[in-house]
Amino acid sequence: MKSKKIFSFTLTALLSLSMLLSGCGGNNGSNNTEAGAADNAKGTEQSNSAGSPKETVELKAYFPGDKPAGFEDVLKAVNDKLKADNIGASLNINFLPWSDYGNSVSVKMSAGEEFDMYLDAPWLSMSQMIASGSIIALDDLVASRKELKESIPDQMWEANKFGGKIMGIPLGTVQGTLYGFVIRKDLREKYGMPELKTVADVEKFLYTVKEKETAIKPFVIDGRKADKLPAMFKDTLNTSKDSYIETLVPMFYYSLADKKVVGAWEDTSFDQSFERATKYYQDGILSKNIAQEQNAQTLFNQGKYAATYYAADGVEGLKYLDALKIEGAELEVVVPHDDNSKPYSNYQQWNFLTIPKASKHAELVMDVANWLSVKENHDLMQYGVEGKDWEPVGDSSYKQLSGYVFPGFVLTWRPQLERTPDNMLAGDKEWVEKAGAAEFFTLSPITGFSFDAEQVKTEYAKTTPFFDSVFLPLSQGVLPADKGKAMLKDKILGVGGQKVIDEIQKQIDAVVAE
Amino acid sequence: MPNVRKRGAGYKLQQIARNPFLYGMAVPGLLFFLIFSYFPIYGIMIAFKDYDFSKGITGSEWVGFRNFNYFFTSDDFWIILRNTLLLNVLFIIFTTVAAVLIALMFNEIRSKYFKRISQSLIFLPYFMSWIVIGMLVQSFLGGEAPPVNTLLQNLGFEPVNWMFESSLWPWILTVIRVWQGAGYLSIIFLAAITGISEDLYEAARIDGASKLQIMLRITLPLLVPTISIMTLLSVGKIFNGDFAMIYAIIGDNSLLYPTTDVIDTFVFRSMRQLHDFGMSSAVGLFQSVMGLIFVIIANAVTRKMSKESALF
Repeated sequence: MKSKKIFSFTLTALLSLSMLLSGCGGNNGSNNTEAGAADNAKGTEQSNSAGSPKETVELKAYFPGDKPAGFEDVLKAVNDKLKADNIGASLNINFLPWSDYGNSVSVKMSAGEEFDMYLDAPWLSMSQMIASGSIIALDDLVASRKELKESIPDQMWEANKFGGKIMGIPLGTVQGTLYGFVIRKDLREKYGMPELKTVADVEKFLYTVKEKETAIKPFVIDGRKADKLPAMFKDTLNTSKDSYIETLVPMFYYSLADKKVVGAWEDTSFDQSFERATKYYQDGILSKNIAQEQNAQTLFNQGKYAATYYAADGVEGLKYLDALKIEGAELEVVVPHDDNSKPYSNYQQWNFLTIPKASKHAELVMDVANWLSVKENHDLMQYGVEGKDWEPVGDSSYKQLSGYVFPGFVLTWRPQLERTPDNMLAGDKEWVEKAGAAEFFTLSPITGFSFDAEQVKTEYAKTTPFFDSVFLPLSQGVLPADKGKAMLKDKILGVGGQKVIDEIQKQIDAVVAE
Repeated sequence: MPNVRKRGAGYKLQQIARNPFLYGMAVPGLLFFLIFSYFPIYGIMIAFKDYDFSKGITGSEWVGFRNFNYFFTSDDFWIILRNTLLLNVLFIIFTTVAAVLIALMFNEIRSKYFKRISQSLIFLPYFMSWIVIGMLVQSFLGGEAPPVNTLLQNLGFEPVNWMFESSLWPWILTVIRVWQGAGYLSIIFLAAITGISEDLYEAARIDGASKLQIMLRITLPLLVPTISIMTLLSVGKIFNGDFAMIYAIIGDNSLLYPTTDVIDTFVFRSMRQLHDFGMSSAVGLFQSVMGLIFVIIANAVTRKMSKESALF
């Protein structure tokens, strides 16, 4: 009797498990689409007859990360306001842990769970979702929503299409990358140096610190971030004067002159940086421990270094505010830039709000996205309840009052509506605002290209480890420029890297031809 | 002794029916292995497929051995394989030797309180996460002026540039591994020692054996089956680099790759850009199959030498 029971229990357990797994097999979306279309029609009808209170539909969202402190209260306020504004929707936002966000969402999706929006990205599962038709195109839905359309620059809409279609609302605050340095202003003034404007000025500052300071070392950066050094330590930083631009495939670049894809060893605009890195490393400007360094931020904030890495992304500059607690310390953001040139940008964003095909409320999701593109509503979701969580400082800043921090990149980031924290360094604010302006950049000729390694998977998998084992040490100055470049070339071409180059070339040519 | 050979399936079922609770206790364990170890074997298929999650495991296209290609034809394949095996062999030998010594020592300690406290202390590193250990190592050996170098200089030695000298790292990692794992293993050995009959010791003492003689002639030989089983178990994982350990300690310091890059860290770096399930599963499968082969060989060798020390 007993063993029979145990057997049936085992069987049930196994059966339910296999059902769970077989759910991954396929998701029949055709009838969903019809239902969605019908609902869409209804939605439009409803929004036409403004005035009469709409029935509230709960929209379910999945986002990665931890639930922000005090989120319940803010969400309640958001839902109350949605109701008051008669949008016809309320939000049910679920946060999933980062560690298995990608997997849980794709399992939910293939198991046919109905939810209405989630964060996807090229680094997550976006291309697979598009290929399998699991998310819907938003072109028409965006076109009819004025606030949403206008709160995001045209270049950003245009550059973040997939196969010519808007597959998700691009979420980002900056339109291109501007690199620079955070330096100790007090030290610069101590040695009577004028404001630093160029990379050469920064170099002079670093050498002065090296020579005159005993307790403070010149420059610190995390080992893994050192791949940014080649881009940072050249005189053409943040200009359009380089003859090569990034392809965003690590170690491969695009020559503007002859439209050829080349490896980092052939990119002549890096010559200066690699040589500088070699020299800096030997002279002790870069830490001997650079390969292993993981605490650059802490070390800088403890006052042990005179300069560190900066990027105008609205996040990097804020990491160094603790350094101001050191007695006498003042900070300054140095972003070398030539006013006569506009740096290249492909306006690419890293995060997208996407709508699964299984959602029956696509129109409503877009209504909410549009509603969130109104400054007042945007501020409510992103910064919390005014007066309790934050208070405005002018039009473009805010002062944080509570611990509420909403991860704007999952839903609310709109370049035209973002506020910067009031404690941001003046220079940081200035450059973040510039980086957020689409006009500040030149459209990259290879905009729209994003590498699909499917055809050269084996070769690509063989070349990528050289990023860590050769390219990083070369960027860090640990491997001397000449030797490092030769080694990188040998290694990459030795494992069939030319096939990867050819494939990138082929895909870029296709994008450029369009 | 009753006749063992003639007992068939019927007898076994009878036994189960007679002792349902006793056999019932095995069910959770069996279920665990069924669900988490045997059922997922089905996923091995991924290693031979061009896996696309929207098509599912069965729906994806078969590609034969293509997924294995990149790993076996990589330039550094032999270096990585050597590192993986060498590090594991060092870990197994030194951890076992240290654990046996610790267990023998503890067995001689008579003060109950001292024994308990020192046992807990030696056990402690086992509970530390590799991330924490990695930070500790970094704070001892890393930075511009590593504290260990100050110590060396005070003792009159030349300072060492730890983060550059890849030849030192197999030994450094072994020391860390022994420090972390030997205490845990020693408890298992100590338990085995406790199981040794007191009569043997008494007889030895009456015959006038010294403490050392007792240790070498009684305790150690009787400990051999446990030692060999523990070793066999680790041999099964000899092709798996301990990713958590190596990555937490070495990180992305490419200067140390020549001696510390193991299969798992190499695959991690190859796949960081590509996220290819097929290729990662292929390497995983290779590690498991090689592990199985090694266990079978090691077990056969052990059986030849001493039957009761073998695993099966």
